Amino acid sequence: MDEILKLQGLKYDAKRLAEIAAEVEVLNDAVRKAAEARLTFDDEPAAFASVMEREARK
Amino acid sequence: MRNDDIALWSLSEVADAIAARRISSVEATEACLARIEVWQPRVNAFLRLYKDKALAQAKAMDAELAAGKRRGPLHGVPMAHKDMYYRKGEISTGGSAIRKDWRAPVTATALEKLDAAGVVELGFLNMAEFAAGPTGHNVHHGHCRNPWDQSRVTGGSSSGSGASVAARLVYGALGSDTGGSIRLPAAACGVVGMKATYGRVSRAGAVARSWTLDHVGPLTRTIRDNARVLAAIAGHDPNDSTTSEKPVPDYEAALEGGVAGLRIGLALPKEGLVPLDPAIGAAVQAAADALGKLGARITPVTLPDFTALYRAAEVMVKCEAAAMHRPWMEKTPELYANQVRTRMEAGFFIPATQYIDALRLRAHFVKEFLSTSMDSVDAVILPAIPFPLPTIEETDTEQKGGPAVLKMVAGFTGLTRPFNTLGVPALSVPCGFDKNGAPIGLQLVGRPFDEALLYRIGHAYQGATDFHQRVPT
Repeated sequence: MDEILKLQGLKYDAKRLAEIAAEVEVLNDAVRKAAEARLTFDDEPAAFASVMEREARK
Repeated sequence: MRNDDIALWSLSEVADAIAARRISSVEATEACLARIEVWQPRVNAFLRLYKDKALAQAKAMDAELAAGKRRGPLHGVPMAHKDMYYRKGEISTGGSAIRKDWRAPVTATALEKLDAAGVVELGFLNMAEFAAGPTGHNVHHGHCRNPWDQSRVTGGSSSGSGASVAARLVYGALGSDTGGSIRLPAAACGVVGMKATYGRVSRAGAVARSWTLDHVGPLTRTIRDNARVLAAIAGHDPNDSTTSEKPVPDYEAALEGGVAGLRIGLALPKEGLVPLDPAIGAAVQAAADALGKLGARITPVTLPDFTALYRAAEVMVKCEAAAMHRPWMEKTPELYANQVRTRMEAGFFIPATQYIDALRLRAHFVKEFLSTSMDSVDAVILPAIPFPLPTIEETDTEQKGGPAVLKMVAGFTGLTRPFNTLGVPALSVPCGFDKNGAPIGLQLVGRPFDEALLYRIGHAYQGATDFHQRVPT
């Protein structure tokens, strides 16, 4: 964690770091699980806009 | 007395009366100013009131009308907006202390469109600091208070927009919605709030909370009013590359279609981030019953896994907010409220790959939602806020920070934030009052760019109920 703080140029005390770590773990875990089940090599962020246009009521 | 009567009219009524020259824009503006004088000390909805400028503008609108020029269906109507819409050369605080004296270099596209439509600008409204907070608390400018019960929250982050429209201080207001910030104050204050499809309204010149999830939209007293304002601000904008080039429908023309034969899915989530209070569920069930009596076919639907949608949104917001706020967070962290700063800090520690995966997931989430929850229905209805409205004191997490803040935020936005991830249109309409006399909001969700259908359903519902006509005293 010290290395991450150094790389990011941030300063936090141990108590706050523990809170942030717990928060990040929950978020990363949720996204990772959702990604594992859905994402392939060819998925790209811009697909969202295309889907919105395509899925509009005709 | 006449002034107060005019202030109680809806936006459409006052706009049509101005157009027919039954009243003047100056009279409508004076009516609003008279109510603001009484209500502002109670609700703290305005951060800046431009009395003289608004009256001068109203006078100019009356002069144009007298000369035969009507700019459009909002000509001469007084409005005010969340203090995050830039107007060139003028102060724009974003609800913060950091920007308390900052002057905007450009005018927001939404304001330019309202200017062109002839709207009179009464001033700028209270909001959560940098649009980061679902309750209406603001340690820098004072908490905004709910007109129905001043001990209770307004919802946020467009707190002043909800409070000012509910208290009949303005006929409509712009808000913005990253995780529910239009729909929450609309629900909590008993007014109508539309988060249109992502890309329907330009975000150019509006303070960003998350470029990916921010939506600009109106809060009004009625569906018709809302449709009228959205029509004025929607459409492609070269200054916001995420706006759609799809033509903007005539929302008002589609209002009278009724709901007979429409298939409406009812979702009363039993599981999720926050349990649904039975009384709120009962109010939404009653709204479904009312729509059923009007001829809609109501069927239960299951929503997707909101936890995944919610967490993906959190990843996007935290990473984007941390990036844009980093210089201030490093140099002047003390100028943020604790709860605003602490919510962004995780963004520095989320790997870029996780952020990119959250973005890549959105298309999948939309396709899944449309092919499951919306497969056999035209729209879905569900609560906006899953519990009775708490007090300002109960939700004041400023001294607590950390996990306490996250829990409180999740409570409010559990049923709204997922639709920011999906980008689909979502509308909040008043559907009752809780045990404390505070409003309850019904949320209507549709397919991408199907705002007209949501307005049609909401309009039919308002034709059969009177929740939107009740006025806080």
